[in-house]
Amino acid sequence: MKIKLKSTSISLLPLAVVILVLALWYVVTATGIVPRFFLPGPFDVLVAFQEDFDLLMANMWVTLVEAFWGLLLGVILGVSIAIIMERFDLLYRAIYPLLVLSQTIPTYAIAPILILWFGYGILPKVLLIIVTTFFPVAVEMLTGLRSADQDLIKLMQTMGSNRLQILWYVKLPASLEHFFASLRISVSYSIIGAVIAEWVGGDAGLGVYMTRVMKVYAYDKMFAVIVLISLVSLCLILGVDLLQRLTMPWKRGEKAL
Amino acid sequence: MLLQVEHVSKSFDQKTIIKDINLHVAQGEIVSLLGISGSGKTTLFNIIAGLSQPDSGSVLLQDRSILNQPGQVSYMLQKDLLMPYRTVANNVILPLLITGIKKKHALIKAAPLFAEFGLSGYEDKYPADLSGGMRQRAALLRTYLFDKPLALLDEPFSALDAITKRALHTWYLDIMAKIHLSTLLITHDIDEALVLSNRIYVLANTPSVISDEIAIPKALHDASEFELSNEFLQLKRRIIADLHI
Repeated sequence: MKIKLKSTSISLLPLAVVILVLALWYVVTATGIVPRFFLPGPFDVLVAFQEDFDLLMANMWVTLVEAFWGLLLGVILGVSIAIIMERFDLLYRAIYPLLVLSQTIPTYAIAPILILWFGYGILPKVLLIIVTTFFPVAVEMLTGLRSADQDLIKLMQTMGSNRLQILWYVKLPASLEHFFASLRISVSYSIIGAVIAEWVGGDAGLGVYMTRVMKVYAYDKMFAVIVLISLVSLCLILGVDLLQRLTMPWKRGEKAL
Repeated sequence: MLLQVEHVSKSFDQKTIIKDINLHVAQGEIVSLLGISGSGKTTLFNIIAGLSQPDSGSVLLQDRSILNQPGQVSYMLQKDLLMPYRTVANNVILPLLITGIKKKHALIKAAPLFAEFGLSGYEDKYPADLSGGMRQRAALLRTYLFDKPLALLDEPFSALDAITKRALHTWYLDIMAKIHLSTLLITHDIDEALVLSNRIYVLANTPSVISDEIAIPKALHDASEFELSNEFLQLKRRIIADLHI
């Protein structure tokens, strides 16, 4: 099977910009225009990354496990809520405004409360990630389910199909594209959510590592971990793209993806 | 009698759409329901398909009432309604899957029919790879696999260009000669109705009533160039008069 990632088809222009920025960064730090303790040079960051590699990987694993469970449960919750809201209009009218309202609460501000209630283990982190990831999924899935072709549903009814069959054969496939769009957002939310929950309280993870190196003013390590978090998010988003291509083979010929 | 529609009337918002409709379809017959747009053809089809209820009257399939019972007759719409995310084979077996037949068995049952419907080699393609005519043939194969005694075709060829439509008419008559699918066909195309059907019901006036019933003798269909014959023109004239156009 031939799979071409979206990013490879993008022109080299952004790459050139990145190289330019890195070069500029190197120059201002190497010449001492900006003091080293204030802004470490790109190579300092690389060295820090290499020095702490094992530690970074161990912490990354912890963060990934939290993000995985939080995202999985968040997605399940989001999809379930969307299906229920689409099926029962009364529940839609009852729940939807509250869902939107819930997004006005700064979720990262409730992290300390979650830690207070559920301790320093994995539970409060997973809960925070669920809270941040389920919303995009629920909203996009609802749009997707509602975008199903009414004539197709009518045809299914003439075949004598029940609601569950219509959901499975028509509505869920119709919302796949919406689902992946929301998953791409939720995946990066899940990593950010995990890191922030670790800031507030925890004994391992990239967020914990971050607070520790910050306290000793090890800015090179600080930068190293930020780069690592971005890389992890990027890889996960590419993973979602790949998953979408595998799940939606009929779209492969189209340019849209 | 296969299908018997008796005294069916239906109104929406105090406006009568169809009034006292009586029609029947015999085993193996292709019957057309001809009328202009908005004459309530689809309303009548929805009633026969069990999707909506008439204000009065009855619909009998093999002497059994099928009012409010979807899933008793096959139904094909103007849009092919093939699912873009399923291969052609997986699309046509859908009615079998709905009735609970295992996918493996459904595919085995459908396999020999692809050649018949001019779809060999396209089983594993997606609908987007098919031409308009092929998509409509696939939709008809799906309709056939409903495996119901009667098929309702709601303007199945009206979205096609004139040439494809003609080719599909010829193909349709060929396939019907083989599979003997009893059919009630909605159309607003007089030529199409004359070419394809054994009998034609003309729906006219507001509210719509059956204003004429025309039987087309088999001898006419079998004659070469029926479409260019005097008999064809006479029938066409009669229908035009019936429709008051």
